[in-house]
Amino acid sequence: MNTIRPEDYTSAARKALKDRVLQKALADFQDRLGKGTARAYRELPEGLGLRQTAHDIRMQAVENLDILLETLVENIRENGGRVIFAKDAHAAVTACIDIARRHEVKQVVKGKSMVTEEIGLNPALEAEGIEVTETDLGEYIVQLAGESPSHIIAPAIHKTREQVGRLFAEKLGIPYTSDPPTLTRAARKALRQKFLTADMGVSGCNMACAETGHITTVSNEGNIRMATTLPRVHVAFMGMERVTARLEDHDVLFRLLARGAAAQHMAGYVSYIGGPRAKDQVDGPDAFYLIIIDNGRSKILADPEFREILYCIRCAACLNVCPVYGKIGGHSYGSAYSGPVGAVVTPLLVGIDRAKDLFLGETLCGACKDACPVDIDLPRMLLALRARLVTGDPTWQSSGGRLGEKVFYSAWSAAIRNHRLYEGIQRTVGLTQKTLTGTDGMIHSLPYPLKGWTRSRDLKPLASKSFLSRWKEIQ
Amino acid sequence: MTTQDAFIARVTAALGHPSQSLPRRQALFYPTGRDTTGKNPSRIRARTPVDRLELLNQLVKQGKPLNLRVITIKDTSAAAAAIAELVDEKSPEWGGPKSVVAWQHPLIDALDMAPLLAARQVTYFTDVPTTEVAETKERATIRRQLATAFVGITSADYCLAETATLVLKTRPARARAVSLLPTIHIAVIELRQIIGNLAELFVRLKSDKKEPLSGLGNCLTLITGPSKTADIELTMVHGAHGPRELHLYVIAPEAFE
Repeated sequence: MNTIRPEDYTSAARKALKDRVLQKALADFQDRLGKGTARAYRELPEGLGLRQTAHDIRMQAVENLDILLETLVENIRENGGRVIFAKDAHAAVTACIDIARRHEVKQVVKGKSMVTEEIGLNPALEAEGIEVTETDLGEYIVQLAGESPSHIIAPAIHKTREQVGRLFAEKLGIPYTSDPPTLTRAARKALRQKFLTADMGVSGCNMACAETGHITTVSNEGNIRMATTLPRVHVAFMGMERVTARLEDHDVLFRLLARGAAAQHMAGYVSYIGGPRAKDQVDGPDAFYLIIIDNGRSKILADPEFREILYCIRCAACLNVCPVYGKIGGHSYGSAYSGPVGAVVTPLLVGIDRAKDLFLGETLCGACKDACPVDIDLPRMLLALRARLVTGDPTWQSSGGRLGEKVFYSAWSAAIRNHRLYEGIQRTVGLTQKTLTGTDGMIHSLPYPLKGWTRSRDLKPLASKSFLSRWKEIQ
Repeated sequence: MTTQDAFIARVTAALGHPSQSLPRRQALFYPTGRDTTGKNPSRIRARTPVDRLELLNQLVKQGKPLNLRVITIKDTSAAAAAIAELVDEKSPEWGGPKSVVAWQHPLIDALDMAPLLAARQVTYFTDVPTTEVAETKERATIRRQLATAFVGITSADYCLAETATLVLKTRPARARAVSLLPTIHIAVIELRQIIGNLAELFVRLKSDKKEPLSGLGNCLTLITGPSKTADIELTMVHGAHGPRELHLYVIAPEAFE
């Protein structure tokens, strides 16, 4: 768990394609949520154009990020909250462990948070002897099974009700059932005890509001409200870009977030949290900490070509429409961030060479851009990553394209500029291709070094006469 | 240089701004005294009873698919009777004797639930500590009461008709857990508390001069329907962690005229 493994993309994807249960789950899921989101956008009173408004809001926030962060923390501190800036994953995890030690924390309840997956918080807390319980039902299932989330919003979509039933029978000691309401109730009962006894609640942050000094948490289950209301300490983690300038920005963003994430008009629970319990309030945490995380984000911010990925509000709408995600599932992407957004974010976080399969695997069909509630141009960035892979870029740990590929394209570039040479190649290929063509008139396998090209696609052989020679005949 | 200064300086540099330019840009970005909302809250206040009843209709309609039961009721005594009946009808999820916890709030106090529930052998608590600064021990007692209550009664600051969303601000004697820990959440509001949508809410909150932090307080919760999950095979189940049922009583004598 929590280890980022984008290198295993191909083998994990191959395994996923053979998993019939997963294939059915992914198809059902995309059929319902992908279409639901499109429908919910159409019902917007402002129309689809609201996504551009949201894009502008996020752009304005990211372009003024230093101002927004400074304003946010000033306001949170004024209200009694404490803020910690963490340069990287290690600093963030260490800060959280320090807080846990200071408050003598033994038990932690967590609301779903991708950024804590990114920094590997759970194993670090567990190594300190602290019990960590994920409380989002999907995350809880995945944690009990010793797996990792396969979708940003629905972490356990890869599991069937029967699998969950067997898991709960084994881990919670309840009689086997495959009835979702009964299973949900079993988790509700088990987790209620955890909420009531935990010392510390950990949450993420959907979108902070700088001018008022609040973070926001969003859930449908109410687990994040539990985790941020009942324990004596609340620690919130926020990727540094998850802040907006003004309260009214949240009107557009929350309406779109609910539509993008779950085809809803509004999420079940949205909480604005600005600090710890006031002395005269009966509940809420005694201490509130906000840990703001960079962990490679300032590097993304500095690159104009990739800055736009910081507008992302982690709704997972792009996963629900992506034809590649729909076949290979979330685990293939090897990190908490899967689908098109993962294919852009993960290479930028861990390096292009390590994670190149992620963006090479996407189709550039553009469905993700159409589904994005903040209209992020994901295909453009996928393409930009491919370009950096070929040209090489030490900033993003890209050592440049393979030598063979470079030689081939240089030769190709020379050949197409020389008419005679080009025609000569055409003739040669036209003569030799007969041996390669199958009975169905298609080429199924090219010889080395072009073998890779036909590994997953068939080729139509060249026509017997070129266009130019036919043109001459017609005239 | 502190960790914060170094962190922010990295962001400033990444954005391509000169160092030390932050205070000047901050003052430009957040000019004080400028209304950025572009809407006049008095327009919201000037709604006629007819407008309000229209919002109520919208609320009822929006609530249905969310499993939010909206009941229009004539006055507080009718509401109290209806609530007592509901408490009678339902049984506690976690067993034990029936108990109900409620906010201390003018509207909830006016329901005068205690005698009605006592007649039905139901214990009634309010989440009010006896001292102004709640002691740890007393808070623990209130928390136990909250955890055993199967019904929680609150009012709300506002209710948004467009999305059927309740807006609850945390205040003394208005614990967050009353709308969270009990199996059934009952909210009672008056017709005038219904406003249009999120945009109107933010205008109201920002124009609230009496309360700090643009009127949000240290915790403001928006509740849209009962707790729900679809994490197992996308099957919708109500009552994942929060309340399984949400009943909203709107006191609207105007609707009965």
